[in-house]
Order: sequence, then structure tokens, then C-alpha cells
Amino acid sequence: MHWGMMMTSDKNDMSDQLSQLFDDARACKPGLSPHLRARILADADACNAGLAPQRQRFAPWRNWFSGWAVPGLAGGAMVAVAGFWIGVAMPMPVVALDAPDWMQNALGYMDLIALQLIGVDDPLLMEF
Amino acid sequence: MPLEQRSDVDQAALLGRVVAGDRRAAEALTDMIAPRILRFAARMLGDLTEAEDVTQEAMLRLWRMAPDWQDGAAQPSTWVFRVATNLCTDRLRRRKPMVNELPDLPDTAQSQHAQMMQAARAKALENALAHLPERQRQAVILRHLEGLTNPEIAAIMMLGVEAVESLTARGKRNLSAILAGERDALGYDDDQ
Repeated sequence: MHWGMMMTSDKNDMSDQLSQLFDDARACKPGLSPHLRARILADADACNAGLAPQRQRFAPWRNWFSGWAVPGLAGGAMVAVAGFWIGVAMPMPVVALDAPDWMQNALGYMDLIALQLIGVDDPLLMEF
Repeated sequence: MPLEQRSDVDQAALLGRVVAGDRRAAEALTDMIAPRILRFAARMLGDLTEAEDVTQEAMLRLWRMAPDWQDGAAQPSTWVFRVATNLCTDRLRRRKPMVNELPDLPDTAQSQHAQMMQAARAKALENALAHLPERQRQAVILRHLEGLTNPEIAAIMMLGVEAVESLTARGKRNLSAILAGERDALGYDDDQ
């Protein structure tokens, strides 16, 4: 027999043998024992009884907070605080920008004393 | 057709029903996925008790993942296979020598001689598989014993399809070399 043909034939034999081995192995299937099946389903029940319902209970809130609501709420809250601060808790009212009484009195005394010393009643007549 | 062999069932929809508290959906998913995981883990680890632990752990992770399952992601069975693959790898790395003690797998009813021969062949294959490098073993088991497609295996092993094809081909070549001396012992001449 030609060497190349023999090699091909051996290769095919091995391939057939392997295919048959795979077939045999597939036929020997370990099934799921009732005990293992029960354990797996008990885990599913436990997850559903404990974790899943808890997650479901908070799910709407979680979804709500994880979307656009948080940035929106944060912006709204900031605007509210800023508005309150400007409207109610402004540190210095606009009226306070006017000169206080003592300063106005001081100016009054200056008019009274200094202008008389200079000899002018009306500062507009000083002709600067 | 057994539930585990049906590919038309929408596993993601079943998982959604599990989250909603439907126990029958959990049973259906268990019957569909767990036996395949058990077989895969038993062949990877060569120990049925360990394989059962891996199967339970992988399914538990599926139940925990269920509320956050994203539609359009991989099939749940593919995901569980991936988890089981990692769990098997972890266990194999924790072991020092490779354990060749293989599980006695229940068999279907046949004549006693044929049954013994089939069991011997299955055991020979399991022994040969145990001598393959881990990734080749995974690929060969998933492709030729679990009948998954190359793209499915690629998703499980997180490889490209070409890499899976290469692993499978090399695995088969190595298996052939390992089994070459056992041809007579496996009784192929009796059959042919």
C-alpha cells in the first residue's frame, strides 16, 4: 500500500474511532439527581424570597433615582436655596447702602461749622 | 424532545418569570441547563460530587443575577457555562495532581456486554480527556460532547471562533494520539 494512502486511512480510522467514542460518551449521561435538583430549586426559592422581593420593593425608587431625576432634583433644590437666600436671608438690605445716621450728622456739622468759617452759606457759591 | 435539548425556548423570558416568582419557570430552567452543566463539570473535574457543587454554585449565581439580567445579552445557558468553566478552572488550580478517578455514570439499558464496552469506552475517553491541556479539554467537551456550536463556545471561553476551532482540532489530535494504543482494548474490532 502506498504510504500516503496508509496515512490517510489511519487518520480516517482514528477519526471514526474518536467519533464513536464521543457517541458512546454522550450516551453515558449523568442525570440530575433529585437531591441536586431540589438543592438548586431551594436556592432559587431563597433568592426569590430574600433578595428578589427586596430588590423589587426598592426597584421603582432605584430606577427613579438612577435616571434623570437626581440631577433634576439637585438643580431644583439649588435654585430653591438660592432663591430663599436672596429673598429672605440677604445679609445687607439695599436700604443699608445709604449713609448711616452718624455719618449724616457729621456732614451736617461740617456744613454748620466749616462753611461758616469759610464765610459761605451755600457750598454752591464757593466757585471752585 | 427533552427540555435541555430544545434551543427554541426563550431562556431569558423564563428567567424573567423566575424573578416574578414563577417556580415552574425555575424548574424549567433548571431542567434545561443544570444537567448539561453537571456533565460538563463532571468531565472537567472527574469527580461527580465536585461537579454537583459546581452546578449548584453556577445555578445559584444565575438566580442572583436574574433581577439584573439584560435583554439581548448572551443566553442564560451560555452565561452559566461560562461561570461553570471558571469554577472548574479554580478547582483544578487548587488541586495539586490531576485526579483521574472518574465518576461512574449511569447508563441506558442495553445488553450487558455492549453496556460494559460502552462504559469502558466512555471511561477511556474520560481518561484521555483528563490528559489534555485544560483549554483543549474545555473546547473538546463543549464541542463534541455537549454539542455546542463554535460561536457558543467562543462566547463561553471568551475567545475568537478561529481560536476555538484550533483548540478543538488540537484537542482531537492529542486525544487520538493518547487513545492510539487502546484500540484493541476498546473492542472496535468486535464491532466492525
